[in-house]
Amino acid sequence: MSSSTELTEKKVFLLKSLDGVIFEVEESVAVQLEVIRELIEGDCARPFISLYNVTSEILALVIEYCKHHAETCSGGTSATIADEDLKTFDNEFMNVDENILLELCSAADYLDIKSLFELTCRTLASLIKDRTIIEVRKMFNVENDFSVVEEKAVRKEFAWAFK
Amino acid sequence: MEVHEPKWKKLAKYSENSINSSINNIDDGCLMHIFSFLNPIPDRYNTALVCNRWRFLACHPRLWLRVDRSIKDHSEPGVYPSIEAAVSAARPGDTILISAGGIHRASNIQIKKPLCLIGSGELPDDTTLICSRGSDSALEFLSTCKLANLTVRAELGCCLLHRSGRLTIDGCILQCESNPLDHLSHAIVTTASSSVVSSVLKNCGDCVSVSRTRIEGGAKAVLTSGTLSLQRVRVMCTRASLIFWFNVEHR
Repeated sequence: MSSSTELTEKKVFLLKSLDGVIFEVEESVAVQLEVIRELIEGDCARPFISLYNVTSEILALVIEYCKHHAETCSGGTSATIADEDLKTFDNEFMNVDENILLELCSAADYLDIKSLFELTCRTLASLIKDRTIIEVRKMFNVENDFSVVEEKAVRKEFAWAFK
Repeated sequence: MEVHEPKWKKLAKYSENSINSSINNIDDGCLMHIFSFLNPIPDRYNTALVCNRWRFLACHPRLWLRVDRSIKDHSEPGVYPSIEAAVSAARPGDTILISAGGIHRASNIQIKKPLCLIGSGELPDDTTLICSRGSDSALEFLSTCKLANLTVRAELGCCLLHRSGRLTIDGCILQCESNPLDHLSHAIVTTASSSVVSSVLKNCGDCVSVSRTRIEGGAKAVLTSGTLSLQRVRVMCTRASLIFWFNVEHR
Protein backbone atom coordinates (compact mmCIF):
# COMPACT_ATOMS: atom_id res chain seq x y z
CA MET A 1 0.00 0.00 0.00
CA SER A 2 1.50 3.37 -0.90
CA SER A 3 1.92 6.06 1.72
CA SER A 4 -0.31 8.59 0.00
CA THR A 5 -3.39 6.42 0.47
CA GLU A 6 -2.60 5.97 4.12
CA LEU A 7 -2.45 9.67 4.72
CA THR A 8 -5.82 10.51 3.24
CA GLU A 9 -8.67 9.09 5.15
CA LYS A 10 -10.33 6.25 3.31
CA LYS A 11 -13.95 6.68 2.42
CA VAL A 12 -16.06 3.69 3.29
CA PHE A 13 -19.58 2.84 2.23
CA LEU A 14 -22.11 0.50 3.74
CA LEU A 15 -23.95 -1.91 1.49
CA LYS A 16 -27.00 -3.72 2.74
CA SER A 17 -27.93 -7.04 1.15
CA LEU A 18 -31.40 -8.44 0.56
CA ASP A 19 -31.28 -10.40 3.80
CA GLY A 20 -30.18 -7.38 5.80
CA VAL A 21 -26.47 -8.04 6.22
CA ILE A 22 -24.40 -4.88 6.07
CA PHE A 23 -21.02 -4.87 4.36
CA GLU A 24 -18.44 -2.16 4.73
CA VAL A 25 -16.53 -1.48 1.53
CA GLU A 26 -13.90 1.00 0.50
CA GLU A 27 -14.54 3.51 -2.23
CA SER A 28 -12.28 1.66 -4.67
CA VAL A 29 -14.60 -1.32 -4.38
CA ALA A 30 -17.86 0.61 -4.32
CA VAL A 31 -17.15 2.51 -7.54
CA GLN A 32 -16.94 -0.77 -9.43
CA LEU A 33 -20.63 -1.26 -8.78
CA GLU A 34 -21.90 1.01 -11.52
CA VAL A 35 -25.43 0.82 -10.19
CA ILE A 36 -24.50 2.77 -7.07
CA ARG A 37 -21.89 4.99 -8.65
CA GLU A 38 -24.24 7.91 -9.01
CA LEU A 39 -25.34 7.58 -5.41
CA ILE A 40 -21.73 7.72 -4.32
CA GLU A 41 -20.81 10.62 -6.53
CA GLY A 42 -23.92 12.51 -5.55
CA ASP A 43 -23.09 11.83 -1.91
CA CYS A 44 -26.47 10.18 -1.35
CA ALA A 45 -25.00 6.98 0.00
CA ARG A 46 -25.78 7.58 3.68
CA PRO A 47 -26.35 5.82 5.95
CA PHE A 48 -26.19 2.74 3.79
CA ILE A 49 -27.12 1.57 0.30
CA SER A 50 -29.74 -1.15 0.06
CA LEU A 51 -29.21 -3.70 -2.66
CA TYR A 52 -32.50 -5.49 -2.90
CA ASN A 53 -31.63 -8.13 -5.43
CA VAL A 54 -28.49 -9.62 -3.93
CA THR A 55 -28.22 -12.03 -1.04
CA SER A 56 -25.43 -11.69 1.51
CA GLU A 57 -23.61 -14.84 0.33
CA ILE A 58 -23.36 -13.56 -3.20
CA LEU A 59 -22.66 -9.97 -2.22
CA ALA A 60 -19.73 -11.19 -0.11
CA LEU A 61 -18.29 -12.96 -3.13
CA VAL A 62 -18.86 -9.97 -5.39
CA ILE A 63 -17.09 -7.73 -2.90
CA GLU A 64 -14.13 -10.11 -2.73
CA TYR A 65 -13.95 -10.01 -6.50
CA CYS A 66 -14.03 -6.22 -6.63
CA LYS A 67 -11.53 -5.95 -3.79
CA HIS A 68 -9.05 -8.15 -5.56
CA HIS A 69 -9.47 -6.20 -8.79
CA ALA A 70 -9.11 -2.86 -7.03
CA GLU A 71 -6.01 -4.00 -5.13
CA THR A 72 -4.35 -5.49 -8.16
CA CYS A 73 -4.98 -2.43 -10.28
CA SER A 74 -3.62 0.00 -7.69
CA GLY A 75 -0.89 -2.28 -6.41
CA GLY A 76 1.86 -0.48 -8.31
CA THR A 77 2.92 -3.54 -10.28
CA SER A 78 3.36 -3.22 -14.00
CA ALA A 79 0.29 -3.57 -16.15
CA THR A 80 1.30 -6.89 -17.67
CA ILE A 81 1.90 -8.54 -14.31
CA ALA A 82 -1.36 -7.16 -12.97
CA ASP A 83 -3.13 -8.51 -16.03
CA GLU A 84 -1.65 -11.94 -15.54
CA ASP A 85 -2.57 -11.89 -11.91
CA LEU A 86 -6.15 -10.90 -12.62
CA LYS A 87 -6.42 -13.60 -15.23
CA THR A 88 -5.35 -16.32 -12.82
CA PHE A 89 -7.58 -14.89 -10.15
CA ASP A 90 -10.56 -14.77 -12.52
CA ASN A 91 -9.97 -18.36 -13.56
CA GLU A 92 -9.81 -19.47 -9.96
CA PHE A 93 -12.77 -17.36 -9.02
CA MET A 94 -14.90 -18.95 -11.70
CA ASN A 95 -14.03 -22.39 -10.46
CA VAL A 96 -17.20 -22.66 -8.39
CA ASP A 97 -20.39 -24.55 -8.66
CA GLU A 98 -22.80 -23.53 -11.43
CA ASN A 99 -25.51 -22.36 -9.04
CA ILE A 100 -23.13 -19.78 -7.66
CA LEU A 101 -22.11 -18.81 -11.16
CA LEU A 102 -25.73 -18.17 -12.07
CA GLU A 103 -26.27 -16.07 -8.98
CA LEU A 104 -23.06 -14.16 -9.62
CA CYS A 105 -24.16 -13.54 -13.18
CA SER A 106 -27.52 -12.11 -12.08
CA ALA A 107 -25.85 -10.07 -9.38
CA ALA A 108 -23.21 -8.70 -11.71
CA ASP A 109 -25.93 -7.72 -14.15
CA TYR A 110 -27.96 -6.01 -11.44
CA LEU A 111 -24.98 -4.29 -9.84
CA ASP A 112 -23.70 -3.43 -13.31
CA ILE A 113 -20.16 -4.76 -12.92
CA LYS A 114 -19.21 -5.22 -16.54
CA SER A 115 -16.07 -7.29 -16.09
CA LEU A 116 -17.72 -9.76 -13.72
CA PHE A 117 -20.81 -10.00 -15.92
CA GLU A 118 -18.74 -10.80 -19.00
CA LEU A 119 -16.66 -13.25 -17.02
CA THR A 120 -19.60 -15.18 -15.61
CA CYS A 121 -21.45 -15.21 -18.93
CA ARG A 122 -18.39 -16.51 -20.73
CA THR A 123 -17.87 -19.16 -18.07
CA LEU A 124 -21.48 -20.27 -18.20
CA ALA A 125 -21.31 -20.40 -21.98
CA SER A 126 -18.25 -22.62 -21.74
CA LEU A 127 -20.24 -24.94 -19.48
CA ILE A 128 -22.98 -25.23 -22.09
CA LYS A 129 -20.50 -25.69 -24.88
CA ASP A 130 -19.75 -29.20 -26.06
CA ARG A 131 -22.47 -30.70 -23.92
CA THR A 132 -25.43 -32.61 -25.23
CA ILE A 133 -28.92 -31.22 -24.81
CA ILE A 134 -29.70 -33.75 -22.12
CA GLU A 135 -26.55 -32.91 -20.17
CA VAL A 136 -27.34 -29.21 -20.34
CA ARG A 137 -30.88 -29.81 -19.10
CA LYS A 138 -29.60 -31.86 -16.23
CA MET A 139 -26.85 -29.49 -15.28
CA PHE A 140 -29.05 -26.41 -15.11
CA ASN A 141 -32.11 -28.22 -13.97
CA VAL A 142 -34.19 -27.16 -16.95
CA GLU A 143 -37.36 -28.99 -17.72
CA ASN A 144 -37.97 -30.08 -21.28
CA ASP A 145 -41.27 -28.39 -22.08
CA PHE A 146 -41.40 -29.33 -25.74
CA SER A 147 -44.14 -31.67 -26.77
CA VAL A 148 -43.05 -34.61 -28.89
CA VAL A 149 -44.34 -32.93 -32.03
CA GLU A 150 -42.69 -29.61 -31.20
CA GLU A 151 -39.37 -31.22 -30.44
CA LYS A 152 -39.46 -33.05 -33.73
CA ALA A 153 -40.22 -29.83 -35.57
CA VAL A 154 -37.44 -27.91 -33.84
CA ARG A 155 -34.97 -30.70 -34.46
CA LYS A 156 -35.89 -30.75 -38.10
CA GLU A 157 -35.50 -27.00 -38.35
CA PHE A 158 -31.98 -27.14 -36.97
CA ALA A 159 -30.92 -30.42 -38.51
CA TRP A 160 -28.71 -28.72 -41.06
CA ALA A 161 -26.36 -27.48 -38.36
CA PHE A 162 -25.68 -30.92 -36.99
CA LYS A 163 -25.21 -33.09 -40.03
CA MET B 1 -3.27 -28.46 0.95
CA GLU B 2 -2.98 -24.75 0.53
CA VAL B 3 -1.64 -22.83 3.47
CA HIS B 4 -3.60 -19.70 2.79
CA GLU B 5 -6.99 -20.18 1.27
CA PRO B 6 -8.47 -16.99 -0.15
CA LYS B 7 -11.48 -15.69 1.66
CA TRP B 8 -13.77 -15.99 -1.34
CA LYS B 9 -13.11 -19.70 -1.54
CA LYS B 10 -14.45 -20.23 1.92
CA LEU B 11 -17.41 -18.04 1.07
CA ALA B 12 -18.06 -20.00 -2.09
CA LYS B 13 -17.89 -23.30 -0.26
CA TYR B 14 -20.26 -22.04 2.32
CA SER B 15 -22.70 -20.76 -0.29
CA GLU B 16 -22.65 -23.97 -2.28
CA ASN B 17 -24.93 -25.60 0.22
CA SER B 18 -27.24 -22.70 0.79
CA ILE B 19 -27.84 -21.53 -2.76
CA ASN B 20 -30.16 -23.44 -4.95
CA SER B 21 -30.44 -21.43 -8.08
CA SER B 22 -31.97 -22.29 -11.37
CA ILE B 23 -30.94 -20.91 -14.71
CA ASN B 24 -34.56 -20.06 -15.33
CA ASN B 25 -34.43 -17.54 -12.47
CA ILE B 26 -31.98 -15.40 -14.32
CA ASP B 27 -33.43 -12.88 -16.65
CA ASP B 28 -33.67 -13.03 -20.42
CA GLY B 29 -30.97 -10.44 -21.00
CA CYS B 30 -28.39 -12.41 -19.01
CA LEU B 31 -29.29 -15.67 -20.64
CA MET B 32 -29.12 -14.15 -24.07
CA HIS B 33 -25.75 -12.68 -23.26
CA ILE B 34 -24.56 -16.12 -22.23
CA PHE B 35 -25.83 -17.56 -25.51
CA SER B 36 -24.08 -14.86 -27.46
CA PHE B 37 -20.75 -16.35 -26.35
CA LEU B 38 -21.64 -19.70 -27.88
CA ASN B 39 -20.66 -20.67 -31.36
CA PRO B 40 -23.91 -20.65 -33.28
CA ILE B 41 -23.09 -24.03 -34.81
CA PRO B 42 -23.53 -26.35 -33.09
CA ASP B 43 -23.72 -24.98 -29.55
CA ARG B 44 -26.28 -22.22 -29.94
CA TYR B 45 -28.50 -24.46 -32.00
CA ASN B 46 -28.10 -27.05 -29.31
CA THR B 47 -29.39 -24.66 -26.68
CA ALA B 48 -32.42 -23.99 -28.86
CA LEU B 49 -33.41 -27.60 -28.35
CA VAL B 50 -33.32 -27.47 -24.56
CA CYS B 51 -36.71 -25.91 -23.90
CA ASN B 52 -39.14 -23.35 -25.28
CA ARG B 53 -37.67 -20.37 -23.47
CA TRP B 54 -34.14 -21.19 -24.55
CA ARG B 55 -35.32 -21.69 -28.08
CA PHE B 56 -36.93 -18.28 -28.13
CA LEU B 57 -33.81 -16.63 -26.73
CA ALA B 58 -31.29 -18.57 -28.78
CA CYS B 59 -33.17 -17.63 -31.95
CA HIS B 60 -33.87 -14.09 -30.87
CA PRO B 61 -33.32 -11.45 -33.55
CA ARG B 62 -30.83 -9.70 -31.31
CA LEU B 63 -28.45 -12.57 -31.83
CA TRP B 64 -28.87 -12.25 -35.57
CA LEU B 65 -27.46 -9.89 -38.08
CA ARG B 66 -29.80 -8.15 -40.44
CA VAL B 67 -29.22 -6.76 -43.89
CA ASP B 68 -31.46 -3.84 -44.62
CA ARG B 69 -30.69 -1.63 -47.59
CA SER B 70 -33.15 1.01 -46.57
CA ILE B 71 -31.45 1.59 -43.27
CA LYS B 72 -30.58 5.21 -42.60
CA ASP B 73 -29.31 4.94 -39.11
CA HIS B 74 -26.09 2.97 -39.31
CA SER B 75 -25.52 3.08 -35.59
CA GLU B 76 -28.12 0.41 -34.89
CA PRO B 77 -26.22 -2.69 -33.84
CA GLY B 78 -26.56 -5.78 -35.94
CA VAL B 79 -28.02 -4.04 -38.98
CA TYR B 80 -25.93 -3.72 -42.10
CA PRO B 81 -26.55 -1.96 -45.40
CA SER B 82 -25.13 -4.74 -47.55
CA ILE B 83 -24.63 -8.46 -47.51
CA GLU B 84 -20.86 -8.03 -47.73
CA ALA B 85 -20.82 -5.91 -44.62
CA ALA B 86 -22.96 -8.37 -42.69
CA VAL B 87 -20.87 -11.34 -43.82
CA SER B 88 -17.63 -9.70 -42.80
CA ALA B 89 -19.04 -8.66 -39.44
CA ALA B 90 -20.65 -12.02 -38.70
CA ARG B 91 -19.13 -14.49 -36.33
CA PRO B 92 -18.94 -18.12 -37.34
CA GLY B 93 -22.37 -19.64 -37.03
CA ASP B 94 -24.31 -16.41 -37.09
CA THR B 95 -27.57 -16.15 -38.88
CA ILE B 96 -27.98 -13.29 -41.31
CA LEU B 97 -31.50 -12.23 -42.00
CA ILE B 98 -31.85 -10.47 -45.35
CA SER B 99 -34.70 -7.99 -45.55
CA ALA B 100 -37.48 -8.63 -47.99
CA GLY B 101 -38.32 -6.27 -50.81
CA GLY B 102 -35.89 -4.55 -53.09
CA ILE B 103 -32.88 -6.10 -54.68
CA HIS B 104 -29.62 -6.90 -53.02
CA ARG B 105 -26.48 -6.86 -55.09
CA ALA B 106 -24.24 -9.82 -54.50
CA SER B 107 -21.11 -10.21 -56.56
CA ASN B 108 -18.41 -12.68 -55.67
CA ILE B 109 -19.14 -12.58 -51.97
CA GLN B 110 -16.83 -15.09 -50.38
CA ILE B 111 -18.12 -16.81 -47.29
CA LYS B 112 -15.41 -18.49 -45.29
CA LYS B 113 -17.24 -19.11 -42.05
CA PRO B 114 -20.29 -21.17 -41.21
CA LEU B 115 -23.25 -18.87 -41.71
CA CYS B 116 -26.92 -19.13 -42.31
CA LEU B 117 -28.46 -16.69 -44.77
CA ILE B 118 -32.20 -16.40 -44.61
CA GLY B 119 -34.62 -14.26 -46.56
CA SER B 120 -37.06 -12.53 -44.25
CA GLY B 121 -39.99 -12.48 -46.66
CA GLU B 122 -42.84 -14.91 -46.60
CA LEU B 123 -41.75 -16.48 -49.86
CA PRO B 124 -38.31 -16.84 -51.40
CA ASP B 125 -39.49 -14.46 -54.16
CA ASP B 126 -39.61 -11.64 -51.64
CA THR B 127 -35.86 -11.43 -51.19
CA THR B 128 -33.72 -11.29 -54.28
CA LEU B 129 -29.96 -11.34 -54.59
CA ILE B 130 -28.68 -10.33 -57.99
CA CYS B 131 -25.28 -11.15 -59.31
CA SER B 132 -24.51 -8.70 -62.05
CA ARG B 133 -22.70 -9.40 -65.26
CA GLY B 134 -18.97 -9.72 -64.94
CA SER B 135 -18.96 -11.61 -61.66
CA ASP B 136 -18.34 -15.32 -61.40
CA SER B 137 -21.00 -15.94 -58.81
CA ALA B 138 -23.30 -14.24 -56.36
CA LEU B 139 -22.03 -16.17 -53.38
CA GLU B 140 -18.96 -18.32 -53.04
CA PHE B 141 -18.89 -20.85 -50.21
CA LEU B 142 -15.75 -22.10 -48.55
CA SER B 143 -17.45 -23.25 -45.40
CA THR B 144 -20.52 -25.02 -44.14
CA CYS B 145 -23.45 -22.74 -44.80
CA LYS B 146 -27.15 -22.67 -45.21
CA LEU B 147 -29.29 -20.63 -47.54
CA ALA B 148 -33.00 -20.49 -47.03
CA ASN B 149 -35.96 -18.59 -48.39
CA LEU B 150 -33.95 -16.58 -50.91
CA THR B 151 -33.95 -15.91 -54.62
CA VAL B 152 -30.54 -15.74 -56.22
CA ARG B 153 -30.42 -14.49 -59.79
CA ALA B 154 -27.34 -14.52 -61.98
CA GLU B 155 -27.17 -12.52 -65.17
CA LEU B 156 -24.18 -14.48 -66.31
CA GLY B 157 -21.99 -16.92 -64.46
CA CYS B 158 -23.45 -18.97 -61.66
CA CYS B 159 -25.70 -18.27 -58.72
CA LEU B 160 -23.77 -20.24 -56.15
CA LEU B 161 -20.19 -21.38 -56.27
CA HIS B 162 -19.37 -24.14 -53.84
CA ARG B 163 -15.71 -24.66 -53.03
CA SER B 164 -15.79 -26.61 -49.81
CA GLY B 165 -17.87 -27.33 -46.74
CA ARG B 166 -21.41 -28.56 -46.49
CA LEU B 167 -23.79 -26.29 -48.30
CA THR B 168 -27.48 -26.61 -47.59
CA ILE B 169 -30.02 -24.90 -49.79
CA ASP B 170 -33.56 -25.05 -48.61
CA GLY B 171 -36.64 -23.43 -50.12
CA CYS B 172 -34.78 -21.13 -52.47
CA ILE B 173 -35.09 -20.01 -56.08
CA LEU B 174 -32.02 -20.06 -58.27
CA GLN B 175 -32.36 -18.30 -61.58
CA CYS B 176 -29.99 -17.92 -64.46
CA GLU B 177 -31.18 -15.22 -66.80
CA SER B 178 -31.57 -16.23 -70.36
CA ASN B 179 -29.14 -14.60 -72.73
CA PRO B 180 -27.15 -15.67 -75.77
CA LEU B 181 -24.43 -17.05 -73.55
CA ASP B 182 -26.64 -18.89 -71.14
CA HIS B 183 -24.99 -22.18 -72.01
CA LEU B 184 -22.18 -20.89 -69.81
CA SER B 185 -24.27 -20.23 -66.76
CA HIS B 186 -25.24 -22.72 -64.10
CA ALA B 187 -27.33 -22.43 -60.99
CA ILE B 188 -24.79 -24.19 -58.80
CA VAL B 189 -21.16 -24.90 -59.55
CA THR B 190 -19.20 -27.05 -57.20
CA THR B 191 -15.45 -27.37 -57.38
CA ALA B 192 -15.05 -29.31 -54.15
CA SER B 193 -12.85 -32.33 -54.37
CA SER B 194 -11.49 -34.74 -51.85
CA SER B 195 -7.98 -33.41 -52.09
CA VAL B 196 -5.55 -33.97 -49.24
CA VAL B 197 -5.80 -30.39 -48.05
CA SER B 198 -9.54 -30.34 -47.59
CA SER B 199 -9.69 -33.71 -45.87
CA VAL B 200 -7.08 -32.62 -43.36
CA LEU B 201 -8.83 -29.37 -42.61
CA LYS B 202 -12.26 -30.84 -42.30
CA ASN B 203 -13.22 -34.23 -41.11
CA CYS B 204 -16.70 -33.98 -42.52
CA GLY B 205 -17.20 -34.37 -46.21
CA ASP B 206 -17.94 -31.56 -48.58
CA CYS B 207 -21.38 -31.74 -50.05
CA VAL B 208 -24.28 -29.73 -51.36
CA SER B 209 -27.79 -30.65 -50.43
CA VAL B 210 -30.70 -28.98 -52.10
CA SER B 211 -34.31 -29.22 -51.09
CA ARG B 212 -37.53 -27.57 -52.23
CA THR B 213 -35.62 -25.34 -54.56
CA ARG B 214 -36.82 -23.95 -57.87
CA ILE B 215 -34.10 -23.82 -60.46
CA GLU B 216 -34.66 -21.87 -63.66
CA GLY B 217 -32.55 -21.25 -66.73
CA GLY B 218 -28.91 -21.98 -67.24
CA ALA B 219 -27.25 -24.89 -68.95
CA LYS B 220 -27.35 -27.19 -65.94
CA ALA B 221 -28.81 -27.01 -62.50
CA VAL B 222 -25.51 -28.13 -61.09
CA LEU B 223 -22.06 -28.41 -62.60
CA THR B 224 -19.46 -30.39 -60.75
CA SER B 225 -15.85 -29.88 -61.62
CA GLY B 226 -14.53 -31.60 -58.52
CA THR B 227 -15.00 -35.17 -57.39
CA LEU B 228 -18.53 -34.83 -56.11
CA SER B 229 -21.40 -36.39 -57.96
CA LEU B 230 -25.08 -35.80 -58.19
CA GLN B 231 -27.24 -38.18 -56.18
CA ARG B 232 -30.77 -38.79 -55.02
CA VAL B 233 -32.46 -36.42 -57.40
CA ARG B 234 -36.15 -35.74 -57.09
CA VAL B 235 -37.96 -33.24 -59.23
CA MET B 236 -41.46 -31.97 -58.93
CA CYS B 237 -42.89 -30.47 -62.09
CA THR B 238 -45.43 -27.74 -61.66
CA ARG B 239 -46.97 -25.86 -64.54
CA ALA B 240 -44.52 -23.00 -64.35
CA SER B 241 -41.43 -24.41 -62.79
CA LEU B 242 -39.36 -27.33 -61.61
CA ILE B 243 -38.73 -27.87 -57.94
CA PHE B 244 -35.64 -29.87 -57.06
CA TRP B 245 -34.37 -32.03 -54.28
CA PHE B 246 -30.90 -33.46 -54.70
CA ASN B 247 -27.55 -34.06 -53.10
CA VAL B 248 -24.11 -33.58 -54.49
CA GLU B 249 -21.67 -35.62 -52.51
CA HIS B 250 -18.87 -38.13 -52.58
CA ARG B 251 -19.84 -41.38 -54.04
